[in-house]
Amino acid sequence: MEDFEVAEKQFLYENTYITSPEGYGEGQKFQGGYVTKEVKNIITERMQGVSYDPARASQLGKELSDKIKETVKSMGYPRYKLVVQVTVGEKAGQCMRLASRCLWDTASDCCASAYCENESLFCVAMVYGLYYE
Amino acid sequence: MDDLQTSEEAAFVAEDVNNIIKESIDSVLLNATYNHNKVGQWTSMVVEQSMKRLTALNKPFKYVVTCVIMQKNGAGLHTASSCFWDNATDGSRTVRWENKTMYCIATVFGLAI
Repeated sequence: MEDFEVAEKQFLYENTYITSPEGYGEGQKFQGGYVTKEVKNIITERMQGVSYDPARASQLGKELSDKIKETVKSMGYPRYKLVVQVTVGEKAGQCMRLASRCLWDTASDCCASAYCENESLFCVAMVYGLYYE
Repeated sequence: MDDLQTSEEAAFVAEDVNNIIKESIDSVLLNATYNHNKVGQWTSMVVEQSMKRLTALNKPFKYVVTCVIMQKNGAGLHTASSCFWDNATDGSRTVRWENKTMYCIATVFGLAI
């Protein structure tokens, strides 16, 4: 009996020559407004009735950032890399300042941010969508 | 077509970035006492100086730099981040810095083009 191997079919992809997100169709560009709304809903909902607990707060931050990442992924921006950063802190009368700068292509990249607070804690979430060329 | 970059140049080097952020924070905040009026200026300066040094590395990267400055009050602060990217080429670095009156947390995310 002869033993012969079937070679795996090699797929050669042609260039699409599409350089910007709009080339893939309408609504493919990262829409800051919609994302901000979704993020705000997520953090407000999650923070209902939660009080600051040092043992649980880091877990809360991680859960929120994962949830936000999955939600934004499902919003349908296939060629975008996402960075989600969530900051959770206790309210104790201190002052805090948060700043960010980005080096990106202003035509295709965007960011969204949302803030929420209750009696004992505050939460800031920032989402950056960067187009992968 | 020849590869224009070696894989070394196109990867995120955490060590260099660590030094860059630390030097930027030191240049702005060393020996400073928390001052509510100046903190806005400080955060901008830290972030802008880090950005300038990162671009001087001349790598094919998009950068996101964030900086949090908080007064020392006994309150707790937690930062978490979640990223959807290519593990082989992209990376991030967080630097925690403090002095007697304030904390500073600076994070750099580098994403390959």
